[in-house]
Amino acid sequence: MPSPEPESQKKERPRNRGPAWKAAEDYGFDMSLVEANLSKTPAERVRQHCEAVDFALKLRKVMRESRDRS
Amino acid sequence: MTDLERLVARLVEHEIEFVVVGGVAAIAHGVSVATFDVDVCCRMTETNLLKIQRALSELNPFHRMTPQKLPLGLTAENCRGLKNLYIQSDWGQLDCLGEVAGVGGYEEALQHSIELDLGFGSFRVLDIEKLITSKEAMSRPKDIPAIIQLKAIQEELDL
Repeated sequence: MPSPEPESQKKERPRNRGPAWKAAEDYGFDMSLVEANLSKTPAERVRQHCEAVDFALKLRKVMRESRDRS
Repeated sequence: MTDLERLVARLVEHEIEFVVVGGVAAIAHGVSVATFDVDVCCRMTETNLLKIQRALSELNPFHRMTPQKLPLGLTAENCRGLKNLYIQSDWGQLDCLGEVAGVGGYEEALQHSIELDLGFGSFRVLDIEKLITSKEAMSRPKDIPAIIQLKAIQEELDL
């Protein structure tokens, strides 16, 4: 009986994608980002996005303050 | 917790009847886009709207779509007939919608929602099928990236 495939190898195997996935790639989206999102839970996706927004808003504030000083 | 999380947590804490729709819902389903506000479909009753006002009371809420940026000043009288509320607060933008295009009002959105828990209590998020329907119904160029990615994700889930 063949030994079970390790989990890491299963993840690396290229998947057969459907037409909508291919259409998104053709449109120019980096679908590896979506793939990475799908490996997370919905709560993790939202939390990660909120952190990114927080970071972006802080950057925006620093940029504005820097412009105001100059 | 980030400001956007705190904003949603505040709605949960005050037992407001809402379903998260729009960009944050798209992100929950796996879309890779950025959104800076929270869109929710709410029951637009006097009770629910006044609860929203109470929930945001310490956050300097104002009507961001009015030229004068009027402070949020809901009363039992002026709640009647409200269809949407576009609020800016110290913790970010919150858009409260009475209806979701292509889906319907709060009851329909609730019926087509999934549960999400960010650690401060659970709340509902519009399901992927109805989120696609709503974004297609709005026909806005800015929604095209989310629609394309949502369709790819839906297909991936079905494979």
